[in-house]
Amino acid sequence: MLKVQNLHKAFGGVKAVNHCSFTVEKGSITGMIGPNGAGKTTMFDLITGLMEPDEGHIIIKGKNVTSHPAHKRAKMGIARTFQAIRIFSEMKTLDNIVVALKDHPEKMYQAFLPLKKKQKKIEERAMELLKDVGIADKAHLNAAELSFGQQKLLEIARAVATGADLLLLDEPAAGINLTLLNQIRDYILKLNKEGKTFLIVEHNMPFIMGISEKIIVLDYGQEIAVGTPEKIQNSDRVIEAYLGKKKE
Amino acid sequence: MLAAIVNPGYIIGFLTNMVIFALLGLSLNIIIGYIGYLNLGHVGFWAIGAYTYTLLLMNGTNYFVALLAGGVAAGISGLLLGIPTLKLKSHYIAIASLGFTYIVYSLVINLNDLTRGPLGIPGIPRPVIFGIDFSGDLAYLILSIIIVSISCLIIYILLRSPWGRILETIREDEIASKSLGKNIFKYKIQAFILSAFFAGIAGGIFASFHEYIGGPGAFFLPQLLFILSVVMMGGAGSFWGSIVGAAALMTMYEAVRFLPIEATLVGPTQQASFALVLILIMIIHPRGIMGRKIKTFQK
Repeated sequence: MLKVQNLHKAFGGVKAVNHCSFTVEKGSITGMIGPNGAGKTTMFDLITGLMEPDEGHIIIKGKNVTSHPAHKRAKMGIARTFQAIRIFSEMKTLDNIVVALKDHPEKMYQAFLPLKKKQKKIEERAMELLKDVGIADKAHLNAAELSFGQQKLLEIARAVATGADLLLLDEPAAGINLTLLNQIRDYILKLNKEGKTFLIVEHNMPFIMGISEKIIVLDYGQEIAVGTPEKIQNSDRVIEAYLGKKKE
Repeated sequence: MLAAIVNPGYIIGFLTNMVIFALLGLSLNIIIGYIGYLNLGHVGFWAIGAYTYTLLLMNGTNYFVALLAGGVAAGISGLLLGIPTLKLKSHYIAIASLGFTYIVYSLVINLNDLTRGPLGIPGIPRPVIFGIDFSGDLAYLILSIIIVSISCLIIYILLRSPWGRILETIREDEIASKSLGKNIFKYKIQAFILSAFFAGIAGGIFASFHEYIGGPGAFFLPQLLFILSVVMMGGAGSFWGSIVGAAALMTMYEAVRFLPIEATLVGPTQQASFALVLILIMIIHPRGIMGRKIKTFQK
């Protein structure tokens, strides 16, 4: 589904991503962990095309997309959420989803076509998605009026609305309560069953270890360990990255 | 004084101006209120529309062809300004578009063969359409209202459409919009062309209304500030706001005439008064009369 090959990105002297390679298998839930500043968000920005790498390749569904702009990659079926929520806060909750839907008739000339039925269908579809994440009753409020947790749900639902089959979630569990966390986990598992592939950056270890089949550990922009959650938890290299080296 | 107020000619002129500035405000609002960029080049589009219209009309071109050509010429200049600038961040776009205003102004002043420079072009006719003579002030006001209404309707349909919704996502969060697969550059260019096109149409209406364009200081900073004030006073991002804004601002502007001050002070007082209103609005109610939140300028 996703292949990252020898990817490199430096900001001045800081190598945010340092010749990193890994793969995300189709239909999997892959976790990405690492200490703060390990390059996880930069990795997401590189994969989604918000940043250009200095070296290396990004291959999505067998296609080298390294030089594709962000919107083109998104059209290939990749969507993401952001560490700091990026919703359209002065737009209605429902419209946040509506704009993301694939058959949103957004061409300029379509404004002059009689598309009432199609628009209604789209709104119904958006409503379903809001129901899935339990915020359908907030559909007609401005997104800014939602609580933090609801905004996170909205952002995930918006990513799902694009129809993407590869979803990149940047810290979906950060700053939310346990009930909501369980809701997000169930939602991810449900979507995964429907065939969606996930790459999830997360600091909440019980959450990410519980949900992922495979964990990639980044440190100083490099993948230092890849494996099942059990294997990662027992890796000296990983413990060292988080806690430092044991004194001999 | 009262005679001046009830003088129908005066009121008709006042209303025609209002209608023209409503279209200018609304077309600028597409950029400021919907995609969220501060465009300071709008008077340039207006001028290009006015001159294209005038030159074609005075060389015998059909009225509608000349009017549309003014819009198209302005639209093309919107495209040409948009391509290099719309990848910039919003405050750089403000500066670049202000540069555009200066360029158009100096072309107008210096292309003597074409524009007669600071002398301006007098004797611009008003049209006769299907045998109906629109040269009378009232008839021309009606024609202006018809054209502006059609223009506003087109803009209304577009802004309320899914296309308009995409423009709003650009204002709200460009990065999120891109990540949803929107080619935001394309939308920004389309919005710029649309905005410029209707500024050009307003230019055509304006030219025949005054039957003269040009002169030193025309299509320059004072007018730019006035159009900006229409948008801000009415409310960025509000369709009706621009129309209300034009009405409110024109009324205030004209009201100064009736203050018991010397005639020579009227001009400066008008300028000072709307500058003051603009400042007060920004402090007291930055969303404008009917507007929604503008957060773009803090980006």
